[in-house]
Amino acid sequence: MSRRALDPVAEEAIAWMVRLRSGHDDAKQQAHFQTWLSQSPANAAAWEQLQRGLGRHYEVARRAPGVLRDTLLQPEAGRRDVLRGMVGLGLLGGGLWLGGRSESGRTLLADLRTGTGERRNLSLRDGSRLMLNADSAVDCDFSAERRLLRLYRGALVVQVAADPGRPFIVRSDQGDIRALGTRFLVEQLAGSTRVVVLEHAVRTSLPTGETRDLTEGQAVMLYPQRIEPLPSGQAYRADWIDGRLSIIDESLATLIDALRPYRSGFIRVSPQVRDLRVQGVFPLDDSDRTLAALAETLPIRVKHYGPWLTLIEAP
Amino acid sequence: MPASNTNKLGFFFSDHHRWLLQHVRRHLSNRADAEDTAAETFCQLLSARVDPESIEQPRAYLSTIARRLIFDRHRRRRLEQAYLERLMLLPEELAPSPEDTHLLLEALHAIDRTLSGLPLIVKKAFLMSQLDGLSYAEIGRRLNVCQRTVGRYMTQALRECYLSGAQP
Repeated sequence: MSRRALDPVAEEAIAWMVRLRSGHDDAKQQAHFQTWLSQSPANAAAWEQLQRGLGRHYEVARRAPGVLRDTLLQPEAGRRDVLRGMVGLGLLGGGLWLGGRSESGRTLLADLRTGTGERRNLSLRDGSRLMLNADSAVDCDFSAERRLLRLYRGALVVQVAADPGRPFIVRSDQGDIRALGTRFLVEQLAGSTRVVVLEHAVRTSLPTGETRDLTEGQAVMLYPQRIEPLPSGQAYRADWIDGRLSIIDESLATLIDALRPYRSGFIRVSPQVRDLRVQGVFPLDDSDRTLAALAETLPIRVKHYGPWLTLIEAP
Repeated sequence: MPASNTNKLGFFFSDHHRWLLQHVRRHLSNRADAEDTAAETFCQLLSARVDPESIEQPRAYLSTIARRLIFDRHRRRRLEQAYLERLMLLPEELAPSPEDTHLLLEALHAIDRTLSGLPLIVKKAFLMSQLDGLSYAEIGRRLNVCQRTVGRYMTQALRECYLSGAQP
């Protein structure tokens, strides 16, 4: 990798640092260094920049246990390797790549879908009611043996009409949620699925064979290899049905992720404020108002650059 | 930034944001990650105070920035993975609290980025000096090189630190 050449003053500052760190430091050398430092403002500025580059991150790392610090000594995956790795991922049997690509194709062709900021309330053929959150996509596959909803993206709440001959199943990327006469929420997240039972009961299952029955008020998260119970009292997760976003002690980043389906531009949350804790009830259909309300109560600054970009940062 | 420039940027975003998002999504399957990276790409444009009209090849320009950000994200993910693997080796009472973990990961990521591309032995030498305060004699003993070589390694690493210390 070619390195940018530094200006001579910078090289001098670095050479001084190398000498002072050697462990052979003595009074004479110190005096020389002080002379160099006070010789010109340029010298002092270069020294300052070098100090900044050796600043607070190292103080934090110094306090950490050695095992964790050693993560810095992983063998380097060269830029080329990483990019090759990314291509490799994409080409993996064509499957993942096509999977990733056809995801957008699939959601375009999905039977039912909602766009940005759009919620839908539908009656299915069997009399069940389906509520789709914004930016969601579902396939509806009903046969004589079963009623299957395939959730590709977003979130749904379903109120299932009883039909003892045909089980009602919602399938997400992670597993199946089978209605046992009921109303429940399924939300497809990145790498997991949230299930909240609003009435009666459901049976969740993974391709691994693991199953878990949930009753009213219970909630779980489905992961590829396990089902994890969530604390009770998650019914507020379905508040989007009424156009509200209820948040109880979550990070600002989570709140913004919930608003994304309701805004067409990008929202960027800077890392400094991403983990601020938030709670409250916010209007989904007026996300500008939500952002304004957040700016009043949290130590953040919201900047809009046209409708395409919103930045949320530390003030 | 003058208002007219903000307007120009508005047009620039609306012309290219859809394309950029698609472009980024080819490398990042997670939608939120992709949106975040696309937004960050525009942010870099903002903070560099570039006049959008002066960009002759907008897509090439944006994809160059995005590529670096995607690379950075992958690098960070690798680091976090290694961190979590090592965390499991630690007895619970030594493991940092969630707040400390956040800070520590930020710091490790920043250091990792600064030192990226340097040979492993250079990183080792530099970190022994910078984090543990070892003398070159001791570092040389541990790495089995002479003190002069340690000094050369230090110079290499400090150049990167100097660059990372530039004012934003």
